Amino acid sequence: MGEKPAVLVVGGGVSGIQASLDLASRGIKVYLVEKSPSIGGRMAQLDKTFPTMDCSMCILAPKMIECAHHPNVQLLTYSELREVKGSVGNFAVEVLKKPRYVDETKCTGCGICSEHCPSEVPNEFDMNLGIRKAIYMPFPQAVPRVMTVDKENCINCGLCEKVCGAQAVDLEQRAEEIELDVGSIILATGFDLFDPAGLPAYGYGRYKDVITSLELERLLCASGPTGGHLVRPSDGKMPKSVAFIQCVGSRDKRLGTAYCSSICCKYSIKDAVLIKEHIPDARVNIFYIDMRAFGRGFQDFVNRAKTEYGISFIRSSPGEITQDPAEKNLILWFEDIATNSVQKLNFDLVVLCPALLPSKGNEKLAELLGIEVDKYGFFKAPNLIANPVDTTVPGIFASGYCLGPKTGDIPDSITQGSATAARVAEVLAEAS
Amino acid sequence: MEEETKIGVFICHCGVNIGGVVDVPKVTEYAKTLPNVAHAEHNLYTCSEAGLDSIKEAIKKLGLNRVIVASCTPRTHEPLFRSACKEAGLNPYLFEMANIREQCSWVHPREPERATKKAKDLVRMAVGRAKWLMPQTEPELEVKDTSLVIGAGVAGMTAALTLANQGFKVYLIEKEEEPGGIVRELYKLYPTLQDASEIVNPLIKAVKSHKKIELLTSTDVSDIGGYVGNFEVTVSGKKGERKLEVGTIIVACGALNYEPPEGLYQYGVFDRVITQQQLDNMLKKGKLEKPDRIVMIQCVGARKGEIRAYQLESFPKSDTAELLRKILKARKEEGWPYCSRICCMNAIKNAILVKSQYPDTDVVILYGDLRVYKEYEDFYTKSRENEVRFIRIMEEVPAEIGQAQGDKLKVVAYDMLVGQEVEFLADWVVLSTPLRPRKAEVLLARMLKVPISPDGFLMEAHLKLRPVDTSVDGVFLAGTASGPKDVSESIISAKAAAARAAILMANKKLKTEAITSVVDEELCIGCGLCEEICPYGAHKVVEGKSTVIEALCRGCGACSVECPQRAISMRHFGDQEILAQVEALLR
Amino acid sequence: MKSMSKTAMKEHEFEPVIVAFCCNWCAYAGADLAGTSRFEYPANVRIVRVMCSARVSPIHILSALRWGADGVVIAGCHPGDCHYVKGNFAMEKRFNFLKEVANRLGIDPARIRLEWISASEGGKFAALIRDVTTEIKSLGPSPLPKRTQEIEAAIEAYKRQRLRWIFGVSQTEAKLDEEKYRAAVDTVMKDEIERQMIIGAIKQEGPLTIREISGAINIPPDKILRHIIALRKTGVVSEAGEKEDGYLYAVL
Repeated sequence: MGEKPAVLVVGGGVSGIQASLDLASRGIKVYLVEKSPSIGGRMAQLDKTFPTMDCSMCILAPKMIECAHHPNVQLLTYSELREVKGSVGNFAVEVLKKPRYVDETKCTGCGICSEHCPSEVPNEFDMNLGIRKAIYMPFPQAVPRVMTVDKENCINCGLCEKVCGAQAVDLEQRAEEIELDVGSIILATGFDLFDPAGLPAYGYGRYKDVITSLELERLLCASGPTGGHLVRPSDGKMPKSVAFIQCVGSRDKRLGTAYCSSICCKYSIKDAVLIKEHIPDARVNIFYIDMRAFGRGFQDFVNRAKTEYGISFIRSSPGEITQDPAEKNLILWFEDIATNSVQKLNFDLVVLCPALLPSKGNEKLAELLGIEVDKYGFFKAPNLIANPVDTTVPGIFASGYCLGPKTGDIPDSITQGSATAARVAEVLAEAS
Repeated sequence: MEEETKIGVFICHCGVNIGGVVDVPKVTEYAKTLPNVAHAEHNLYTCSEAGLDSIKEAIKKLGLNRVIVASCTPRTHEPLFRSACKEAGLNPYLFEMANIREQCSWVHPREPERATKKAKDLVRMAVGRAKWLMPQTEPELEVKDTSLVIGAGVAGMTAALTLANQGFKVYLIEKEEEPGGIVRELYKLYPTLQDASEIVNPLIKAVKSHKKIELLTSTDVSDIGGYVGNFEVTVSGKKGERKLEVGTIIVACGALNYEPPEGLYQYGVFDRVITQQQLDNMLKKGKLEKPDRIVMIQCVGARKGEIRAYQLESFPKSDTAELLRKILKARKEEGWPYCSRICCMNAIKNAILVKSQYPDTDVVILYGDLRVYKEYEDFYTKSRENEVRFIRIMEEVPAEIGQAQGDKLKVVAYDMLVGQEVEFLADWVVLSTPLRPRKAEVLLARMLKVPISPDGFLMEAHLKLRPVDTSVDGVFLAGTASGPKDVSESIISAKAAAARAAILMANKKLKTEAITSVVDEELCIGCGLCEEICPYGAHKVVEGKSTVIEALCRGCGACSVECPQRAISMRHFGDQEILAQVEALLR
Repeated sequence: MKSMSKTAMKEHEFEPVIVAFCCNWCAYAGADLAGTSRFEYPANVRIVRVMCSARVSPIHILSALRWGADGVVIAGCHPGDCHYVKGNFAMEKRFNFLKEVANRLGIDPARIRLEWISASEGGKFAALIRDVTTEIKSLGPSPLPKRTQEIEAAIEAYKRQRLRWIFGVSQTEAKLDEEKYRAAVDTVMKDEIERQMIIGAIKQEGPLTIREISGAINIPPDKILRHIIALRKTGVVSEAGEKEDGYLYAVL
């Protein structure tokens, strides 16, 4: 009974990364499973973080790289959890490593294959605003720094194999079933965005210039599809008027999302400020119900947004977005509470701040692990106060947004990641 | 024979963060002209894998023996680049950074020409210094496997138990006679509406009975010395003073409820104006007699002196002058400038409790922004189902409290939805006040050398990335010591702090920076000035010569400046390294 | 001046170069925070990072002035908050002496500033730089080359054990008689700087007589003689020939 058991972490976002590092740093072996080709999660998609306006990738990259290089962390990217048996101290886990058709040990990430690949596909990392090839790296700072072939969109022309200097392309590669023995499991599967197409009045999908906040982040980000230049998706014009609509799909009983997503008010202010920095003479309006900029430093942020950047906050829930047939700009209709009348304003671009939903795979994971979810589909803690990062199965813990909107923002995700590492350490100590 | 200095300079665009202001290619070309520079290139993101690979390649292929990265602040990225150098076989102390982002492009965004010139200057300074850098080895420290947790509230107890359960010894000190902190006094907690005792009592029981925890009540910290892995803490309690030797410290000293000054909303003037804490107490003791109406006022003494997040223009012009006058009056009041995060939920919880006891009582909550985040929205909905009334008022126009008949109070506020003043007769006016930092915290911060953030709480190392660490190695924060939180959040942060502390103690050893002092014995005359001036006792005069106890030296450099014989130099921050930067800049 | 174009005017505007020694834990972090908060300030300052303000020696500060800096700022943690317990107090004591030295040298002491900035004071850092830049602008360009000799002498004096010891002893717990100590400081400061100026003059012009030295550095010949006697004793200068009615002294 000498060797300490290993730990499985499902989800390579900032929360999963922090938990992995905290465990690895004290000699515990960690298998970090991530379903996409690279770790990084949502934080890697952001341009800047509130309220400090740090460049998101800049502060995340060192942690990602530490994970890649740490002797106690084994990254299993492009992989999914298939089966779990056993109990705390002794889980037998089966992980399916999907074939990326590239030999990870040989690929140098040089990208020549991608340059030559004829097949273009919308880039999921750029929220489908950008293009990638069938053989691709999701973003320039990806970890691990290797290419992946998306077989669904691959036309099997074999050009990548021919141009690869390291002979790393292996179009015959097969999926690998990896069996692991772990003492404990941490879930950090994050969130997905509510699809605003579910609220037809806002015209998402119908009008190109109605976008979600994550799409905006990609447009603002220097490593995004437009190199950080904010343009309208419909015609590439620089938007001179931008509206933010809060609570799209949140606090809505009909849609089953009666909770507040916690971070949208904060990030909308951040994005509004970023827009003003990019386009100083733009008119930016934030339409909100309650400005939930809670916690230290945020009231200051709100004030600066208003006084220094001239962003206007309108307390109203817009009813509808239509399009001017001639000018093609968007018209936002809203109720002005003060004058008790319906008003309208023109906008070049409308950004919807949608509700944050449990990750699509959560339900299946919960079933696999036998853990309970709450009525919204987030992993349920046995007691919200006393055991906030536990799940209903001993030895399985959860951190980050998969626990629900109790996770306020990045520091919360990180704190929870560390907290689950502490719980695992406790549990492993008990078991030995 | 002296090796030729070969410096590699890597200049980062950082996307547009630097490249958008500083002409990075120009700076790169300039770098190539500087003495001893064998290679210069620019990268989109030097800290990415591609960038790091570039550096490693260049070191190996070109035989670089110094590396400079001109990008962001070394305070976040130096370890990353040092690791890269190490991987390529270069001693990590032969690496230097030029801060051309936080201290250049980000502060001179409208002066690209001057920013570019400044970037060139900063690169030239780094190149000047790089020549004098020497390879260094890092001293290793022992880390004791004992921890000190200051404060035995919910956070402190959680941290202590989490560590003790992993086998570490913990001294848990508490200045009151009994552990439990603020939560012990509370009635019920949101959102579960369970008794606070259900959370606190099991913790107290566990802490008192755990073999690895030594609980010292009525004990306070009087002095803290030493450093990570080897702190020497003097505590004083009922039995007098005691010296504890610990490897890590977790600060969980909590926060206090702000008590409004006399006169604010007539607090202290009318008996029936109370705080939420006092209401909670009354409910706990069952002392609330059936009221007809309770009016709660949010953000009392919080978010003061700030503009609210709505347009003032959207109000009828005729009232503007009146409103402006009231706004100015409101600004004069004292208060804390942040949002205390928990008061909205706390008020709703108390409202629900009152309603469940007295369903007929009218409970009115006056607020500016209702910050009910997360799934607590359900709780909010529940309260509205119980007919708790929420009235949005204009906070620049604070509610006015006056005496009505008998014990009743009259409350006048400006209802934004209706657009006019409204009046209530209330049996109680309950003020929701923020959690504020303790005065004692400042003293503790001094002893620990942890900075205080602008709102008065202990400051974390990095607001986003290191929320429970402090800038002092080995010292961590749990609970409300770093800012207002609810009980669940406090517990999570306590576990996180314990996790971070456990890493140090589990590894038993820690490598520290190689910035230590070195004595040239030939020049030293044994005058002992260094011994007197060193705050860590790292210098000791032995047989007429000064010696350095490396493990104790923290690298401040005070000794080297004061030594009359100039016999002491600092590794990595020697006179040559410092003067070379200044000279490169100016000559 | 009316006929000058706006750009020409700008080119003539004096832009000072200010060196700022910032301690890693507080001031440098504060400067970083000014960056992340995007608080703008003039691009005149160049920061040199040190671990503690205690690390900054008057030699560093004077060298900066010697090489042409128009102003020097030292920024550390607030008293009581020093990451290394009391480093900033050491700096403060040194600084007070340095101001006196600057006065003696004819350098406006306003060119050297000691400030306390905490890691959370990004705004204060920016405000400080704005303030210092404006002040130095009004003082005009650096005191060089008029004061070169004096500054070089001061740098050399600061390298001498005598001056270092007399300043250094104030950093200890020694029970000094205030009056006596002050008098000693005054004497040593004056002596050492004057001696270095003598040495500097000889190095520049070659062996000189006492009268010639007095003419070069503007110090009465009797004082020069006293210094020469002391310097001879420690083997720094010695006779190197004769000239008219005096001996020539050379630096060994």
